[in-house]
Amino acid sequence: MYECLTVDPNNPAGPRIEAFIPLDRARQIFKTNPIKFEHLRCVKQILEHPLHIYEGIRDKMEGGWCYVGRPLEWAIKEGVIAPFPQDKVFAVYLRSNMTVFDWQAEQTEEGESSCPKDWRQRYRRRVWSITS
Amino acid sequence: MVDHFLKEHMDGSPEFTPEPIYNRYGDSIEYLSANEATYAERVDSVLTLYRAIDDDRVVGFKIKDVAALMRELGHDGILLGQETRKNEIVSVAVILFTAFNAAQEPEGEKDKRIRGYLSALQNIKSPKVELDDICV
Repeated sequence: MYECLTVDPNNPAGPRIEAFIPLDRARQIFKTNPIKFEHLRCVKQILEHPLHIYEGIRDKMEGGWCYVGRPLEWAIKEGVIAPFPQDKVFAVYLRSNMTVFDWQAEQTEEGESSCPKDWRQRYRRRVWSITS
Repeated sequence: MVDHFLKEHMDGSPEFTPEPIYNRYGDSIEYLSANEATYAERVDSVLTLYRAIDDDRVVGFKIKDVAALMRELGHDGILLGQETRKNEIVSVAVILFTAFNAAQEPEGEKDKRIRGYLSALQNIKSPKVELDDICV
């Protein structure tokens, strides 16, 4: 597991805690989708500097978190780096034990450009925002 | 570009392989037919489409809660550990069909969902997925 520090979703004002990127998951992506592997750079950046944290991400998954932010740039094709689009956010999904299991760009909510689309329907609640 | 922070943990060179893979941490099947940046478009609680960032075409999908779908298909005996049925090969089309029936969505979304599932089916080039560590 690769470890990086992030905001504690249970105690956002407290000390940072470790989040984990499973190396076998990273290797799986390395050997199937190199661009998504490149986006692990965004994962690290979002975990270090999230804008929002949501909890209750799936009906059939106990707990779990979604960290959302906006990286400055990202890989769009092999060897091509571009600014991250203004009309998207980058979401990092973690299990309740803080293990990262997925990451992706998503459309934004109308009128809330730093939030993922339909977040009120998709997640149980927002637990933290950088402005809160 | 600065070296990737996980580079030292990877072996060999990166490869693009357009085949469905099972993500055991997320209990999902993922498929991408293009090695380029995408954004996710949620179809329902089970299916997410991946669209190319530069022209919005569908280039892949993700099916969530695969363990529950496998139970729907009658695969009750797939367990972690010694009882794991290794190298289980499952048709992605069958899983998509099961997902369409299993997802609980509000009325009025059916046409949108049908279009989403058709997009996923039309996109896939490799029709089967290996489920080697599924936990039901």
